[in-house]
Amino acid sequence: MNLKTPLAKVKGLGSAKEGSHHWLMQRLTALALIFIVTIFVSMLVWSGKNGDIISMLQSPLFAVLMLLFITVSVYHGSLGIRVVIEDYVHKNCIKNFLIISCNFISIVLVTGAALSIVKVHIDGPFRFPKYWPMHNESKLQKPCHMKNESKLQQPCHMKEVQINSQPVVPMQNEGNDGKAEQPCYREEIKIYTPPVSPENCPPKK
Amino acid sequence: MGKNSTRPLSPHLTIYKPQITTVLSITHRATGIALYFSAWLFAAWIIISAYSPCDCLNSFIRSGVGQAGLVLVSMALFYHLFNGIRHLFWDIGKGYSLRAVTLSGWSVIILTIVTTIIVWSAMIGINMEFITGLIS
Repeated sequence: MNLKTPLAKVKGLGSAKEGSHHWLMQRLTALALIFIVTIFVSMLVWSGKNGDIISMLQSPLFAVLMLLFITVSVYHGSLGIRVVIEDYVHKNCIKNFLIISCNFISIVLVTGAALSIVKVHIDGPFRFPKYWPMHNESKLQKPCHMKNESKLQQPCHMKEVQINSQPVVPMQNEGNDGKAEQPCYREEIKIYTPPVSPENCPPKK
Repeated sequence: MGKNSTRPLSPHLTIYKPQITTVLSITHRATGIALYFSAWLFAAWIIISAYSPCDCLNSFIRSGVGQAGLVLVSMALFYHLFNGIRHLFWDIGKGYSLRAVTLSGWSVIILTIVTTIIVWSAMIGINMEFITGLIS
């Protein structure tokens, strides 16, 4: 028979009747982490000659180890920090807020780290693209009626003025080095042409 | 009746002699907390290193402050690891006698220092080549 008073039942007083799973997961993750950390640290020390961690992530063993380390250790730490917060913080609102925020932040960080580890393992770290900044006008296709025109159109009264264009990174032997015909596209796309044509030029004085 | 009672407490932390059991236990908790936030920083470092072209973070880590911080964090990691193994033996039920506790406590401390020295001298031996030769 239940000896709790109705008020105690409503307030949720008494034993929580759960928590041994937390205890068990803490010990299991600790056991797993013994192996993970020893292998991880020994790999860091022995393979340190290969370069930094980013280049060591190419080997699948190290990538798996890194993923395991970051997830299991943060899980173990979340369980542990929960115990610490419950020991030292007694006001319910602050305690619950702290536990939930620690869990949220760690989940966000672990997701980002897992994505980064997979990305570096598959694709390598950040590399500058070949053309930096990204747009290189000479690689773009021109519409057919503008094939022989340069990109910049000067207004009539400034034809003798040199316009300082931005320095474009020159293409290095891309196979299409200006001598071959650049392909063009049919003019279905509306592009902006500046409103200059020879008819609109003022008569030369 | 309330929690804001102004009656004095008898002294506890100020008078009790620090012992191997208590000091190691609170250090286990402190290193655990420090390692948790270091794991956050580690995850943030992974994300930044994978997606950012900036090398400023790695140059900070290679500097004196960064390396000192890494030594401290690794010392905390090794201490927490060895003391955690000691805790797991207690969970099985072994090692509760006073002699066993004292012995295992001192061996945890010695193991931590020795492992830190070994790992970091190996890292320095490798890192010298990094610093002088591989800057690119």
